Amino acid sequence: MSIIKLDHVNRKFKIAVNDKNFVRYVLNRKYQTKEAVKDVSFSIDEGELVGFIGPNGAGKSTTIKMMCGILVPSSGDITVLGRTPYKNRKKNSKEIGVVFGQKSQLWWDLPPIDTFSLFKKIYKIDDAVYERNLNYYGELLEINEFMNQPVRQLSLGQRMRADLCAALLHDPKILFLDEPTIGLDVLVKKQIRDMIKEINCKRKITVVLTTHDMKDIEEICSRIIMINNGQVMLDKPLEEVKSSFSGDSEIRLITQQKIDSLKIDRVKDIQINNCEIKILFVAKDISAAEIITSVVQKAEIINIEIKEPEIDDIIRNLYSIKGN
Amino acid sequence: MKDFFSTYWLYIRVFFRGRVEYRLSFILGLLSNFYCYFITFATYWVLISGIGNVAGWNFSELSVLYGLSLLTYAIAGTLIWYTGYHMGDLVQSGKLDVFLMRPIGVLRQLIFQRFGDTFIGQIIVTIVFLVTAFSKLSNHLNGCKIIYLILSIIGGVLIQVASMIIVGSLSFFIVKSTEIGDIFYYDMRDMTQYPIEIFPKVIQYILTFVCPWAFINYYPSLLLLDKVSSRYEFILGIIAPLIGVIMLLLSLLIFNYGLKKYSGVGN
Ligand SMILES: Nc1ncnc2c1ncn2[C@@H]1O[C@H](COP(=O)(O)OP(=O)(O)O)[C@@H](O)[C@H]1O
Ligand SMILES: [Mg+2]
Repeated sequence: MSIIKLDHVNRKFKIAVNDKNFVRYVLNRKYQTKEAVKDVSFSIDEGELVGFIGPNGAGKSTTIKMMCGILVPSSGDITVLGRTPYKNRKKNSKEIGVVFGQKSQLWWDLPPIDTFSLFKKIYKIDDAVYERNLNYYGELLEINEFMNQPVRQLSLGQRMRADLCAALLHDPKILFLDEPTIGLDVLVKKQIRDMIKEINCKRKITVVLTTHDMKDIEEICSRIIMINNGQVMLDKPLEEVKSSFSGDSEIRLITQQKIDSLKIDRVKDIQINNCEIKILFVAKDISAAEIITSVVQKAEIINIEIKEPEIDDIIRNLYSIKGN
Repeated sequence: MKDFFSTYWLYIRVFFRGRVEYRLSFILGLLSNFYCYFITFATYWVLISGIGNVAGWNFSELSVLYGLSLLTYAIAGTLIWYTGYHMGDLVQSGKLDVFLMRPIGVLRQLIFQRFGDTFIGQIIVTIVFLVTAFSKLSNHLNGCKIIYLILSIIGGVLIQVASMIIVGSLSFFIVKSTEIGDIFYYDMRDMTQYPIEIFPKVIQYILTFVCPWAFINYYPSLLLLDKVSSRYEFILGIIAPLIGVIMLLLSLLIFNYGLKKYSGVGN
């Protein structure tokens, strides 16, 4: 059963064009229209774990904000849990949890537990439910040890985990996460992904997240919606597209000795410049380990740098599959 | 309503728990606020005692006039100055989104979010001055006047709260709302530190019918100090608390309109 439905949703922003002539700016200002979301339709079923991916400015946050009732669509219909979000903003917000990676809900000078107690009050959470969830999420997110420390002393990862807990205390049916892993280190990213998977599985919470980290999607989502320039480019179950995540990776090596020539099968390009070697490859054709092994046979390696494929690359690739 | 107060009370308690963390800076802040307003009154006193009186108002009477303006401002300040008058910061940074995610009203949350603790010193100093001024008056307060005093303080607070909300709400439409607020709210309202009869008629009308700051303290003072000289002044004095309610409703209208624009209704 679908619990989120978007039907030909558009969202435009009117941006005032700056004018050097102040009087003209005030009296007759010109506007530019930015179409942040264009004709987006999809529906999400209960229990799904959907990942929105797309480059910066693609319209991911705007779409999330419309589903939360923060923004109103310029045209088209949105239904979340049977209601139009912006018309029933307060009711809607009792049944959803929202975390914006870059906008913390926590009180800066106070420990997370104080923010939780305020949430208990404004969401009217029962004592028993509150206790149960605080224990459950406290353990799952490992926030017990810093629950009583002022937020300003916490690391970004700790803050994000506390923010996630705050968004879940009132037992939301849907959790919206806008870039929950942005700026976090690998370990915390993994912890947060595991936690999302667990609450989706065990608590049957439908999760919609946005990211521009392909790994977030690859590791936890059951479905991927890719958007670019405000439009849905692709909307498929993960298995169908997983094999096509094939952007170019790059490996840079510095060797002890000079190498004159190097030949490795299954890579796209090799550039040698004295002791510096740059190799372009596609992860599904050859692994970084195999490449390094080949190089080591020729010279001692001093430094290795690996660059994962750029999201823009992956999008370009996926877009070409969609085309045929 | 009961919900409002119990939630506000919880927020205030939590807020002060956070403040105590910086105990020294909190106490110093309070003291400097104290000192600052003490100096303000002292300056006012020096200024006035040099002249003797202003348009027939003696020092105690002028203290009532000035005190009512400051007291209502400070009370309004504890409620909504930080997040209301400065709403522009929230609008421009997009932090207002956070308040739209929660199941209670946005304005309510703005009040809850930041208790204006720095205004406490001002409230205390002002009350001391007001009480002293009232006790020195030859025409004492009676029961009726005390009720009117309370009502007009509430009305004054409402006008000040409404003004802060209106200035803040302007940020939904323009970029630098506080620049307008500084002129039309602060600078113009400061004229009512003095009996407005010393100004030209046109300014008196503006302070009554356009930016109704004279209802905060001037007309109530006329009634409280038996200075009413016409039916017109009497009526304006009587309706002063009502003007507060009207201003508040107006500010809510503007705020809600702005909030709709922020979300993009009818965009
Ligand atoms: N409040 C706003 N006013 C004007 N333009 C906006 C506003 N919010 C977003 N936009 C524009 O809409 C587009 C989509 O933004 P957004 O949804 O934040 O993208 P994403 O989250 O995918 O990075 C961008 O071009 C952005 O500049
Ligand atoms: Mg975004």
